[in-house]
Amino acid sequence: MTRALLDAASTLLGDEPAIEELSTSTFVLEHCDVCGYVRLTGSPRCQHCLSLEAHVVADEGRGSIWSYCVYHRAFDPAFAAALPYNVVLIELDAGPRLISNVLDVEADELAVGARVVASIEEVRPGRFLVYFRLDVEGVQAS
Amino acid sequence: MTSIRGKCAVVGVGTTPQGELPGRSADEIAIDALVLALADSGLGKDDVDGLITCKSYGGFGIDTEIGRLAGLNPRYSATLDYGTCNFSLHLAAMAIATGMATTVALLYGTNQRTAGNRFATPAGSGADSLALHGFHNIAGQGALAFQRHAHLYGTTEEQLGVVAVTERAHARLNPGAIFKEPLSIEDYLAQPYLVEPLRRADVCMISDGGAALIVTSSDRVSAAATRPVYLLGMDQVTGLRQYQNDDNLLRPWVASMAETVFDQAGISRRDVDVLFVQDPVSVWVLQMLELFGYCGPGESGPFVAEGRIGLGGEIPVNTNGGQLSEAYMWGWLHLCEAVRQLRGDCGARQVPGARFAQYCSTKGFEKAATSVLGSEVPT
Repeated sequence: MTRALLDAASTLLGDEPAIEELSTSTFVLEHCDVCGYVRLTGSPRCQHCLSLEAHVVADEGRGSIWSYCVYHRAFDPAFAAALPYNVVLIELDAGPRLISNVLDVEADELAVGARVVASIEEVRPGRFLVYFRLDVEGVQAS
Repeated sequence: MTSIRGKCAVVGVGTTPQGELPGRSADEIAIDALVLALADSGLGKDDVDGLITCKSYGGFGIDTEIGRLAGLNPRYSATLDYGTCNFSLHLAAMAIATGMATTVALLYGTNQRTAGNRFATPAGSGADSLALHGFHNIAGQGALAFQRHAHLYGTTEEQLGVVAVTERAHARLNPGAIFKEPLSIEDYLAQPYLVEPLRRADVCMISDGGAALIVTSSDRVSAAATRPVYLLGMDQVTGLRQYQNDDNLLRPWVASMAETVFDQAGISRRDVDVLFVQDPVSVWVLQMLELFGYCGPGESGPFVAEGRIGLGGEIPVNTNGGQLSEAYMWGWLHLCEAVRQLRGDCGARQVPGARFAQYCSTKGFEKAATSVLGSEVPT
């Protein structure tokens, strides 16, 4: 599933840059300089206090699965080779929530509340997306 | 808040055949529905001084184009991006209450089945990112929401399946419904997963069709040929911050409307005879039953499994068959059915003596609306 999922994203990305891509293989969040609210990258203003002042901070990308599902149909043909594949909603320990996939996981290992950690994958040369893996160490760390 | 109770009424409904309507544009279909609604109401085109259209797949449904095609010069017109008929009805009520219009036509038409909508759009805002992770179709959000509910409360797939099975049973009594083959819970459980834990029967199909309603001020209802169905209460709420909200896929913010809409309507939830829930995914029915207090938090699984949402049950839901079995019309047919139930026009699927109905609808996981309608106005 894993390689096929990355290939699907690569196909969709094509040669056009997309705003949600990372420019490096480091997982980052934005911290508001005024109120400290933590947000995903891509929003020009703080969604709490509307300040423009913020700085980018590297984050471990640890969190928990809020919920998960498994696609058995490819609504976009690019994902046909990846079936069945999971989609998860992650709640990061740092606060923000995002939709992604858990890589290299058996179906019965997915669970609400399972600990995960971000895994930045280079889906095309120089093009990085945020995926997750089960966080075996994080069970202790959290 | 100024009460809207009894200020306006639905005096005409029109619904076209649903399913596949090849050779008809979305706007033509919408106007077909308008013609039917006007005929139902006994009012003429010249009585309409307000027009509220609803955008539909392919860029159709714009008031300026529909006005041109239908030869209408209403005083007031508007286009809603996502009407679900509930937001549309509320806008009509506001236009009437403020004197900007007296008789408003609401309409929606779509040819998305014939036009080839494959429903492969990403499931929510921030579309690019979601598409890259294969998060397509509203079934994805529905599956996440149900999985969470199952985790929190032990809700089972068999309980969820009762929603689709019940709506199918209702559709079999509705001559206008598309899906009328019998569907048992065994049939449901035998279906393969679409987006696990959801099956095909949990998700609406794509269809063509049109619907229209005529809403007029209460002092004009005597001009219409039909028994008026009054708007008693209406409310809206948003969760526009989306995933910034805790548990957003469970829509906790919707519950605030349960405290407002019944007060406004002058009835209690227990007075509601028939409930309509816009249901692109079956899971929405479970959510609304809980959020509006028909059952307690987390109790919707056992509640539906006990047969309470079927005809003859405690609170019949989506007697038209809903979007899962009647047709996919962004909730418009639900409001048409509510009006017909309160008029007593529903034949084999009529809820005996129905006086009050509630309709709950949503725009993705970002907005929600509810209306309470009645065949009479409580004092």
